[in-house]
Amino acid sequence: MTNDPRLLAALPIMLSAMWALLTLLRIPKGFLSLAPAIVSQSAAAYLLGAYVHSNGTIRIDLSAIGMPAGAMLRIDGLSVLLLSATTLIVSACAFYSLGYFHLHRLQQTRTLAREKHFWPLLAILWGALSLLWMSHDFLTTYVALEALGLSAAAMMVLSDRPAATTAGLRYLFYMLLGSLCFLLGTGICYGVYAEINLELLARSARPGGAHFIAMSLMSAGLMLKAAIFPLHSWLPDAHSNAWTPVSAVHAALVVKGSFFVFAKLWVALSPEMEAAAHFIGWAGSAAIVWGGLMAFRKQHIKQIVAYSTISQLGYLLLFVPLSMDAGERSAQLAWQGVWLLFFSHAFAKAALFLAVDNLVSTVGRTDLEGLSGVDCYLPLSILSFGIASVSIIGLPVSGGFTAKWLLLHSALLSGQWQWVLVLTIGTLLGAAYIFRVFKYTLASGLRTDCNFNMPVSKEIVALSLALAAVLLGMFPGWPLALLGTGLDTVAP
Amino acid sequence: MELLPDVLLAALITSGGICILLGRNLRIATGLFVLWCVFMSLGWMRLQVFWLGVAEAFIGAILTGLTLRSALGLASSMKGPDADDVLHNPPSRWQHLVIPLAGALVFVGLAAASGFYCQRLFSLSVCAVYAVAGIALGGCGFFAMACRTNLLQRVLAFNLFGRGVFLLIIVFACQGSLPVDAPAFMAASGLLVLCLASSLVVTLLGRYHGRAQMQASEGGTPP
Repeated sequence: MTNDPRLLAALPIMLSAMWALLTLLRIPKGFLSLAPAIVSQSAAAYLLGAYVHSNGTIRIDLSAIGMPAGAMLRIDGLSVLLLSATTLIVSACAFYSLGYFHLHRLQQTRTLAREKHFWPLLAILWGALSLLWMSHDFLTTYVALEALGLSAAAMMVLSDRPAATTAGLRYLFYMLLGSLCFLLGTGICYGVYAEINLELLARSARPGGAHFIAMSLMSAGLMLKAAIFPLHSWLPDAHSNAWTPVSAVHAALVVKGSFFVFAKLWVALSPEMEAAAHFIGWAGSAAIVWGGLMAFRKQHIKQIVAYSTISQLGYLLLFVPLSMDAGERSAQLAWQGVWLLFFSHAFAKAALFLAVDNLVSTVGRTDLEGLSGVDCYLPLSILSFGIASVSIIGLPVSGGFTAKWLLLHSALLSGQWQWVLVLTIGTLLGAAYIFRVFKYTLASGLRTDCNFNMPVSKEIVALSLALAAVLLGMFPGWPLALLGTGLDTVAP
Repeated sequence: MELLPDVLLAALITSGGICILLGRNLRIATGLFVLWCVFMSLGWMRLQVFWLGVAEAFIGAILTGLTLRSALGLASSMKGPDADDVLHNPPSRWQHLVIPLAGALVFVGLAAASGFYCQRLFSLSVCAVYAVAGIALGGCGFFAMACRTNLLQRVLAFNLFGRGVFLLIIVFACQGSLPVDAPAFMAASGLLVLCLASSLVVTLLGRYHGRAQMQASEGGTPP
């Protein structure tokens, strides 16, 4: 059974569908429903990883099951890494939400009215993410992106607060606009090259007017969906108002799903577009600086975390100019650096959101001043916040540090000194806004108004996600070996 | 001369779309939308994508139509102060006119240029007729989506914008005489997504409506 790649590839998606059905019917509740899903998804990711490790990249032609010609799933080392990270982060957030809902039940808030919708939507989101990581043609990518965006938007409006509804609605409109732009771009590509498969497109791509228009439409749509500067305006409100597990999964994985497609497009379809690549690099630099500055100015702690996401997404864009007109070695370093940053940011950002929620739900306030003196009561959450911040800032030893090191190395090798400057400024700004939070939380003060019912599971989950980000920096060898070079991703 | 039915249909689609977007009366606009989806489905059939026509009739005319009609009672309460709540902040003239107009013009320019680059778009053919309809729908839909404050009107606008884009991607495949199954598949899933998104917005409208009613009843009763 484990020798049929088609079955293995279908496994994560079928498991998600089954879990969605079960949670919809609410047959087992709570942990009993969650545990089998986590175990089976981990097993599926492991089996896929083992198959790819021994047999190399899997390619599955979807036209055999009635899809149009060219539709293809492709599972390589990167997909396996992404699938494993998704399993880890979604399971952690799902486990955390058990404690989250329990706490709100104790406080008797009205948050719980829509808890029953949370689980099926999470299951659909998980399945859409798995499909997206495996997709390698425009059709499957589009379907996966839409399923992802819709389920994410529905999860954002679960919260009862008016601000959350408004922010979720805005997100929905921007998401639809972004995917329609992407769709128009793919339509033009199909009209010009008569292909939807990225591997075949990479061979026939040639510079020209239509190609340029298609690339700019697709890039703009994906940048809007990934909240990349200057198309980021929906993100801070959406992330600071949604339920915490939702914003954690969204910042760690959903936003990155669009970036994943963006990165693949730029590796596969960018012949002779140096000027555009540098433009993308400068947009990324602007995101780093703007996100850092805004995070430094905000008082609302969840908004600080949200703006930090915008800043970190900017680093991911730097790989576009770095892999464009440089030597093979520096392109490979940039490719490895950007994916390492992708993973470490996913773990660290999820941990940051979860730890922040622990602090906020204990003191009952969201502004920085309200948090003063909280370290005496929640040392574990402050510790997770600190460990995750080490990776966000990029201090040694952490995934963020190793990734930035690789990017720096790549910038030096290719002689593009401007990105060295950008990386330095970004790191300093990151340190500034993180240490500003610590200035408040570590201030001494005796509090009497705290809520001490914090379930231990909430703190443990945040800590383990933060530790995962650090471990990624200590042992980057295995993921980097799986990543390969950027050119492998599209090579036929 | 053999183009006459197509020209008529495309003109109907374009003008019908513009009427839907301009209409102040939501009851008429949603009714018109159902009728317009039937014309759209005829258009897909003229472009030789029969099953997409059937999907349009089912998803567009029936499902989306029903969803929108069910929201009519809720949407009337969206006029007035609640609209500001949805928009987050009251729009300035700048946001209201200039940005939507610029976006719509960019869309029209890009779509027309790509049609020009693709192949002989402006030679007279069935494709060219529908391409013009698609560009017009996309531009108007984008403009309305960006500048309308009423949520139901926005839903109508993004439905029209989406269908303009779907027309364009089918046309790009048709004029190169490529198999249309891949873009048709994308368009069909896009139709489904637009329908689901519309129903999500209608659900949220219900939530706003309930909140407004609660506030009204709280404010109305004497202390």
